[in-house]
Amino acid sequence: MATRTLRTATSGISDPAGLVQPLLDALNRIIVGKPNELKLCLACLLARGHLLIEDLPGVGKTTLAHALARVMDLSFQRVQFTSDLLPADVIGVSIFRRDTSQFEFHKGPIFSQLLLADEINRATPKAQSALLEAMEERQVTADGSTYGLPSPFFVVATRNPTQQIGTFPLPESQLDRFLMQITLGYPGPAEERLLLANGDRRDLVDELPPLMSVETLLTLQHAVGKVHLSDPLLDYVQALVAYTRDSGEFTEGLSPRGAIALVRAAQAWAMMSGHDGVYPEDVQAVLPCVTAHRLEIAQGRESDPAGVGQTVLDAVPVT
Amino acid sequence: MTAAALQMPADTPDRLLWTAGIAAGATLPHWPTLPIWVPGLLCLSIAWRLGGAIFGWPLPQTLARIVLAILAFGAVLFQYQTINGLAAGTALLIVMVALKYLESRTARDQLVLIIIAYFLLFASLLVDRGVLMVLYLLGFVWFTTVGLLQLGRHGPLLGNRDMARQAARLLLQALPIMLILFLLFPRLPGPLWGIPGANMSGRSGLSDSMSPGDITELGLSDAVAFRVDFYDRTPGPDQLYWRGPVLSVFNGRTWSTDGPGMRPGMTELVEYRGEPIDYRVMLEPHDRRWVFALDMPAQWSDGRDIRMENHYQLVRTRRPIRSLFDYEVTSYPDYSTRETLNERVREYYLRLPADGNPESRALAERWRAQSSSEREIIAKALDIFRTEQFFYTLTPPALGANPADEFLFQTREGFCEHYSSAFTVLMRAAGIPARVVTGYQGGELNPLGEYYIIYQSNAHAWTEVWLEDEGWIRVDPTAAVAPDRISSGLSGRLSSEQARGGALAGIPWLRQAVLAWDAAHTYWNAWVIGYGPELQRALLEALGISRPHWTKLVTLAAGAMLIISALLTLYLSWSYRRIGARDRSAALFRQFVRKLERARVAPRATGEGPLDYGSRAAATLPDCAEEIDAITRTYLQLRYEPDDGRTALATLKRLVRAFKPAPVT
Repeated sequence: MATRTLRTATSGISDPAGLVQPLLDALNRIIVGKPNELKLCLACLLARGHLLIEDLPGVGKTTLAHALARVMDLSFQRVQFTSDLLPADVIGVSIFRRDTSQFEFHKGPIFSQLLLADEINRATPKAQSALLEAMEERQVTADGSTYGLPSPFFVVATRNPTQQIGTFPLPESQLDRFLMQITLGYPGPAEERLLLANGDRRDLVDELPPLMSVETLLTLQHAVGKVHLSDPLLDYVQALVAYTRDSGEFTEGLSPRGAIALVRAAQAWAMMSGHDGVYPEDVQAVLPCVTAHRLEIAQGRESDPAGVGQTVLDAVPVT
Repeated sequence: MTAAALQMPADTPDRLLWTAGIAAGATLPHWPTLPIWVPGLLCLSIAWRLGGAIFGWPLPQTLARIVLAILAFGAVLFQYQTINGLAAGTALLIVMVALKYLESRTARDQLVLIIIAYFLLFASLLVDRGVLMVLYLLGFVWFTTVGLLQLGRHGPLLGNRDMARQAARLLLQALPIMLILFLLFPRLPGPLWGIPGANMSGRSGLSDSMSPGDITELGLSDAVAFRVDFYDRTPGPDQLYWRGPVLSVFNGRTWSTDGPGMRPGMTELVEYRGEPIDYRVMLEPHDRRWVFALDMPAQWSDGRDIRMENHYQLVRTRRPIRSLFDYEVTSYPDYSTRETLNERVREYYLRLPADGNPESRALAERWRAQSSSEREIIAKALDIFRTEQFFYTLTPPALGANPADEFLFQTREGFCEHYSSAFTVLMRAAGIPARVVTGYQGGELNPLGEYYIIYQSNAHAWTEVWLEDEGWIRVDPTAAVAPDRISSGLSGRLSSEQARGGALAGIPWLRQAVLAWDAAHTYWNAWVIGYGPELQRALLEALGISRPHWTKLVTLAAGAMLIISALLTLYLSWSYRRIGARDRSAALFRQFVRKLERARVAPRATGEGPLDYGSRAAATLPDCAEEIDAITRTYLQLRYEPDDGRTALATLKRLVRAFKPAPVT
């Protein structure tokens, strides 16, 4: 019998859903009223993907990244992307040292386990691509030497809605590097009132205790890939992907990389939900945010107010 | 299951109970043959381990377990003086099962125990191969297979009924292969392992000597000596003399054999007359070499193994009969032996102890003086049994130093051995060579199977006298006293006696049941246990395969198994392609959705997953929420989870069929 059950695969982790729950609880205390988005964040991290948050400034993107790093006990760096940011500002720089007559590489902020790349679409495409290449390769090459990035390596990038002035839109091929794109949005009135009453969230973040070790996180990340994918489920995923390509609703369909991202994210979601295999609901839960930055409504088509993903989900029957 | 999963603790009480049941049941057939402490140790280990799992009793540590193992090993060695052989090997294995159970913790331990259980079940056949045992073993192999399915998978145990069904399916799939191996696997003449001698001690049967009282024990014994199937002609009851050991040495009290003397060509001394009788004998093991046949055997199967010794008795030369022995004989009830005795042999058959039994001697000498022929003396002797007040009884008074005198002139109560012994003494004293022949007389027809059963209670003794011109002829003095004993078999003899079946004889249906059981037993013995080289050859010849060499048989068996496996594989792949378990689960779920729609739950949306639909339906129909939840969960498990879904499919089918939602009001 092959390694088929999740509990078998994680060897020692018998209840991944139970392990993840305290993290969610802690994050929910910081970012109130957004449990689904937080769960998606964690799913993205567990699926070893990178997260893109598209939102207005000031809705708690930075706080979220910070809190994530705290509860997971990850080393955290923040880079504010500006139009004059150079690749070396992210990756690091080689400096000539007189005493040894050699160049020495000074690691940039990218050498951290959790990197918050704030307002990524304010930087020039050159700086953007430096970051995105590193995200994909999980290593950095400078002056002919290759440096491995720490593990886990998780990038949370935020971008302002592209309508805002002074932004460089990210090319589609670069966007594909992000597993998910989520939107936090304004909090509801009750949650907002809580925010107003309770003062600065940053103080709360600092009080957060680490809730998971890096080892456990890596084990969980490994276990995600082992969550069972049944044939009917893959049929369903293929039907969804085919719909994005063939229906004419979208300018371009999902790429194979996008399809893989969908499956990976669904596996992570299934694991967090305590399922022994990926259910259609797991795919449905992650599909909107996996496709949000990958699909674009074709011209002349009416866009669904619930998002591009929902258009697909409503149209494709569950197998 | 992966290696890692095998090592994971799996010592929940339900799993341990399963293993305990399997360990106890698989060893059960061996318990009667084991010293009491071995099953005791097993029960103790089970109780201890279960106590540990349920009540948290402390379990022995590694060092204690090692010491225990060494002690147990030593105990077996001490008990049997060896660890080799069937008895000691079985005991050792069971002791190790007990200790393994005590330390069982992981799934791997449980699988090891199950594999040993299969082996022990197989080993039970070395103890007993009766119908009941085989039925028990088949049933328990099923049980063990259910256990294997339950414990061999990770996670909580599944429903026993589904698992039992799946195990039955597995066993049925193995059935053709079992039959092929049974029918075609090369048969060795005789069993590979002799049934151990220890089992023979309790069995009753004839012995090679006869002193007053011996046959009484047999007379009360219910055990079957052998069974006979007459092929076309059945002899009359007065011809049913089954020849056994011939006793020619007398010490005044006990008759004994002079041992079998092998002499080739004995049948040439016999003049066979009249019609032959062909029959097949299925002889129960009795740990002797004697092979019983109707007087007088002319031909028999397996002539190299079965020989006729110089008292016309058939004996087996290779080894004592320790397992069911099956042979065919042709006998002629009408015969004469034409054997001539030289002076020395004649004198041998006249020999009596120098003193003792004076009255009998005097009587015999008087007859000799008065009579003109030996036939007249014999007639006179039989006459006194017939005319004087002799009684046939199985509970005669004890006899003293001169048994023949006391029996003939005082007690006059006895049964075959008294009559034949006294008669033979009289003949010898009168100068006629004579000897006692023991064996069986009569038999009971089982009307259900059309065969005869000869019980130990049919044991009999009669006399053979030698006449100059006729050779050895049979004289049965018991027949003179109790003709019923001979003509109607045992029931006549038993009518006035307390004896075998006394209680049973009064209840006809019980008697019928006993006979029916014996018929089943006999067919089992004849066609399953008795399926040896001869039957196999006959079967193959019927199939058109002549002179099968074992290599041919192995090729045939392997070929047949390949064909069966190929057919099974083809069938399975075809049926799976046609309709896989997953698709069947989808069909069942659609049926479930239709039922819900009839109960006016809003139709399932195109993109609605089963989990979402299930919770929506449960919210609409709160009364059925539990059922809906169970069906949805089973369906999700079947369709999207890794485990082989075939057992869950049965559950889903049952749940969906039983699901009858009341419409929304």
